[in-house]
Amino acid sequence: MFKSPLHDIFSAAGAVFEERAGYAVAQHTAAGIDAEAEMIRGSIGIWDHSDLGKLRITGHGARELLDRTVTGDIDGLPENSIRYTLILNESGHIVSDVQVYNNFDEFLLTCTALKKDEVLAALNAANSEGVTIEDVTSKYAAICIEGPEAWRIPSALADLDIRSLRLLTFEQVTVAGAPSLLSRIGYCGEYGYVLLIPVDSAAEALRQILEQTPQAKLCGRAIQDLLRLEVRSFNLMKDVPKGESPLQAGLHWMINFQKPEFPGRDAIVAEKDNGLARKLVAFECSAPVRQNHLDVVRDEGDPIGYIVNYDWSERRGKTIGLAYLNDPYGWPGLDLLAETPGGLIPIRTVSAPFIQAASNRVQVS
Amino acid sequence: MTSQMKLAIERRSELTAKVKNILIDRLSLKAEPNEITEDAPLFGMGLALDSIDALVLIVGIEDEFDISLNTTDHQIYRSINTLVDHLIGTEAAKATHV
Repeated sequence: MFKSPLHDIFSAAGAVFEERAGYAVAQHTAAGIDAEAEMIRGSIGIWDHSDLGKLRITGHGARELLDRTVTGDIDGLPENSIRYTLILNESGHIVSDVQVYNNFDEFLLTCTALKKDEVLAALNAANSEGVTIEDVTSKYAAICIEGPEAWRIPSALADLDIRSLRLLTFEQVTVAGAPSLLSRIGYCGEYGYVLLIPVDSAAEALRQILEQTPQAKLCGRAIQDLLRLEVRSFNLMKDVPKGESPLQAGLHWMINFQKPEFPGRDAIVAEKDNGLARKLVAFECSAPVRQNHLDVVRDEGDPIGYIVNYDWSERRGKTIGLAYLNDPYGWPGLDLLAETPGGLIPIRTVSAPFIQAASNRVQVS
Repeated sequence: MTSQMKLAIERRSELTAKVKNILIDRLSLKAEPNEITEDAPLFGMGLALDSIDALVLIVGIEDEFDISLNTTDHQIYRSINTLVDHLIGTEAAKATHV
């Protein structure tokens, strides 16, 4: 198993590691996932995402290659900006969500480690002009910083006026003596930053962060699923388990329908024009429900959908989740029933997000 | 499906279509209504509207529905769905008053 350059620092914090795409990934620290959730929602949480897939795309035709591979607009992506978008297969199913960085004369694409090989294959299949595609995953660590006070860290670390770093933009900065990319992109709805830094300097950078900002605490990755769900941030591994289409998952905003060409375009345009057979809808219920105990959704006994992602949210005080509901049930405000091993329980469809992120009430100074 | 649920879905669908049309018309979005999802954030990631867009949207909704929106309650403006929640709540409150 590959160890991140931050492994020892997380290990010292009592982290429990699990294998993920060949990497030892810190799942949680000795503090536990509840404390970690409170940290990210209330102050600053830091986690190691060094296993993040990182592909550098350079040379003549790099922009065009990306533009015809992903669903979003890369042709018009300004320098120092990030496009959060999708790669689909020809059937219109999601291969992966990806972030494309326009870093002057080169592009960087990041994606989950679990889908990196498929993303690489999609890029290679479209690469008819000899564009250079380099896997730089092992060369850079990724330190994720998120929380309502997270903006304090980049300000202190890189002497950056953090107010100028808008969402989905990045800056080249020097951290721990190393040229790095600091991006503003979050996962949990709070102020979020990702520091991409050469592996040799990553541990020193994290030590500096923890020294300069004592309120920041290390977190694992296990809590991320719930925090993403609370704000209905897309979760590739949870939200589309049966290859549901991006439109059924509500990801229209990651697709530029004006673009004439990208894999899967014909399939999703046809689906859009014909109307969706089902939609992903948020729901909640009062009772705590064990994992893997919620499945079919019913209306007066008739099966009308299935649940794909749910958990107990302490902040909401309810079980919250997402379900694919057949047309015409895909709306908030409906009282339905969900099957559990113990019988049917009432659920109610609701509008997302489930909670309002604390960062929405924070004034950056 | 009960008739009550059927009516609720129909009303919700009508209001959602109106809000989408206001978004598209007032903000000159290059999108069809079925290219906009109801739960996507209006600001930040999602539709990526800015504060000027927000003002235009609020004026458009106030004109269309003849109501006055609370501009300090951020929860209303999270998504098309939360806006429609507010419109449905306003309708219900008016009906109770009558």
